[in-house]
Amino acid sequence: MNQIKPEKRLFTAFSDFYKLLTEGTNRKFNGKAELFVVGLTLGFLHNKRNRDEKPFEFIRYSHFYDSKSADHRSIIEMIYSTMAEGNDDNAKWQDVLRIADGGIEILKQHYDNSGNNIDASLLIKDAEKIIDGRVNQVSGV
Amino acid sequence: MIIQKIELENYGPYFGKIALDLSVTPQENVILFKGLNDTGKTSLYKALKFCMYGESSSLQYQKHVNRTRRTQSDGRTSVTLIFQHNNENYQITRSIEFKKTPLDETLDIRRSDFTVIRNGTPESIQTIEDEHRFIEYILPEEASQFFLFDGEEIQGYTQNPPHPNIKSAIEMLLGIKELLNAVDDLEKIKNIQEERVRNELSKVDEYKEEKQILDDLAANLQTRNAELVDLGNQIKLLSEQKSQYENKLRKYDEIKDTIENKLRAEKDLDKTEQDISNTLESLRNFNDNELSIWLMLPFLKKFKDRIPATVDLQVKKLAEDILDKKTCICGRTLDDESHEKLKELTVSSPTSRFQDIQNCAGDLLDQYGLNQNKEHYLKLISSLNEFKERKNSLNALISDLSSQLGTKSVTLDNEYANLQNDYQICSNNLLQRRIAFADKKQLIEDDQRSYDSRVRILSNKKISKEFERENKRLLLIKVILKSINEFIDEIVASRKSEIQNIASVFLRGITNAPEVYTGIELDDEYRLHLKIKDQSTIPAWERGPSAGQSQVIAHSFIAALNKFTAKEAPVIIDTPLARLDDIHAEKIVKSYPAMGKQVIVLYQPRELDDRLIASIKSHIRAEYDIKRDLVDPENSIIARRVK
Repeated sequence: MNQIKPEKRLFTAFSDFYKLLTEGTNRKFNGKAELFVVGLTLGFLHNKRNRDEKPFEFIRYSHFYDSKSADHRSIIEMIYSTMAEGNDDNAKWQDVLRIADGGIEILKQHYDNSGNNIDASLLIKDAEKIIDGRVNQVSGV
Repeated sequence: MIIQKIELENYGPYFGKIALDLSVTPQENVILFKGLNDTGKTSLYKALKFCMYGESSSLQYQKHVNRTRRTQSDGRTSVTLIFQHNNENYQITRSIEFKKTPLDETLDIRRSDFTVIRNGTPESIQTIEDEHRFIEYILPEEASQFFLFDGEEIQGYTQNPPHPNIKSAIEMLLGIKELLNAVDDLEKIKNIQEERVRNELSKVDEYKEEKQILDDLAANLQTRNAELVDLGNQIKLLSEQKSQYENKLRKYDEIKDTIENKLRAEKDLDKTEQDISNTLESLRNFNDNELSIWLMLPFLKKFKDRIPATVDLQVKKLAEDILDKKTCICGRTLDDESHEKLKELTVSSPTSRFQDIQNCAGDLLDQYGLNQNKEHYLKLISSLNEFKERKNSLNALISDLSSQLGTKSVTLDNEYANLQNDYQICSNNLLQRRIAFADKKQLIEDDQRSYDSRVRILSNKKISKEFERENKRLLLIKVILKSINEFIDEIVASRKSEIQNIASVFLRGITNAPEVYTGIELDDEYRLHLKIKDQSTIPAWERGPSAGQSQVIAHSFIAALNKFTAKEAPVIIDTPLARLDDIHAEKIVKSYPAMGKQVIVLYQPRELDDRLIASIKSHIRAEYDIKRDLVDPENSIIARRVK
């Protein structure tokens, strides 16, 4: 734990989609940070990165230092240490942002295909199909 | 009255002369007429009514005359009925003689006539009163509503309080009318006889004063009786008005109910929208806090199961050993690629990498159960779907109730208040009249008692032989009157009970809801009341049954009346099955043979199909087809089907 410094900032290439899912009456999330974690999880599970420029900053990593976000931080730190590539902290953090946007791409596709909705049971079902391969990949078996 | 033949001459859509055999036998008593709309079915029904009852004005006659015929030359339209009644043979004809008249002008009628031939001999029908008397004897127009009827219209008996003439018509059918008329006549005779008794007193000097007292009492009684009749009529009128107000108020109550239902639905909708909003918030909270965990848990669980926490340490140690020895455990010398990979394993610290996953798995798997999360989410989704469905149905209900209400709700309160006010005034007036009626009746009874007591005292005195004789006659008339009244009460009670029984059996046989409607009862005004399963009774018009159910109830009542009537007549039904569903239709068709000695049905092809007709085949005496004349589509032709 605490591999990632609290001053790290969260960026995305999908600011519109972030707004769509977190603002207005049809919002599906109350917070962008929480959406970021879902994106990162999906990116991790699907081993997907998005390498587009990420000009939109929305929050600092310190948000996850709140005790209520301990579980989320545990997931982020796990992905940071397991999947993120880079020679230093900054490079690794940039990779985390790429993985998160990779997951947001998957979520966006799901949102469009589900009639502008987020169906959690469908997302998990899709993820379950690739878990075996992903476990092998991560563990290097 | 059992019709054997009907002859039409230039009547309605029937050009020239047509004779139709309508004779029946006890076994084959049903005659069917089949025709599309506007071919002349109803004209047949109207021809019969025209022949029996004529028209109230000569202007009305022209609608019965064939349109083609009236434009060709001077001519004649007539309807002749040949029938049996009370074992006598009758032939009655109503005819109109007209001058050739274009269709856009009022028909020039020269003469109209009504003739009766009884057992081959012409009857003398000189005046309109003679005609009425004769028809009253055969089938009074008032009573004909129970014999010649439109299937669609008879449901009116159950939907509104029936017209007052229904009571009179039913009394006529049951043969009570004649007895009531006899009572009226006897009352008049009694009054005359009382006058005679008093007149005998005046012939004896010492009783002249007593005669004057009795005359005054009798005059008082006469005036008060007239006032009582007047009050009775007012009460009847006010009762009808009150009943109409009650009907209107009931309709307003229904509107009020609808408004209340709408308000309730709107309140439910608000609550449902709040439920939806709450559930969406719960789903958002789920997405915020649990979705990523839920996505990650299966991976962590599988990883933990497959890679025990100690394995990565062993791998690191093994890699370091091999690198030290530069030889694999199989004895093979390490190549460059293997060397790099092993070095990577030791340098990239797989221990910490796996350890982070194990730590994360440890944290999350302990806190969350996979299924628990899934169930929570699915429950939220299922609730959301339920709420959305509820919202849709509530919106549909509100829209339906709104269209039912239209603009009524806006003016309801004022109209309702005015109506309530009128109803209250009417109720008060009725109450006052009833009190006045009771007071008047009391006064009359006092006067009558005083009169009777004086006459009784006089009866014990030897006044004169003439007085004694007239007084004895008076007593006799009074005894007869009392007996007839008692007889009427008995006969009414027994006939009413029999009609109720027959109608109830009929109803249970043909209704689709025998578990709801178990019988029919009649009140003193012969209005229909429905017996419900729990044995309670309610006025049929208050129950507000469906159109089809109303038709079934009215049908049962008419069937019972016809079965029991003192007036024998054919049952002629136009548009018999109008709004009935298949099951009711079948049951009613099967009941036709039991409806009367002669049943004539005028139907559209879609009302009675071959299957329904086959169900009463053995009772069908004749089947006729009514069609448009292909040569002159203005006219119709009737052909009897070969059996």
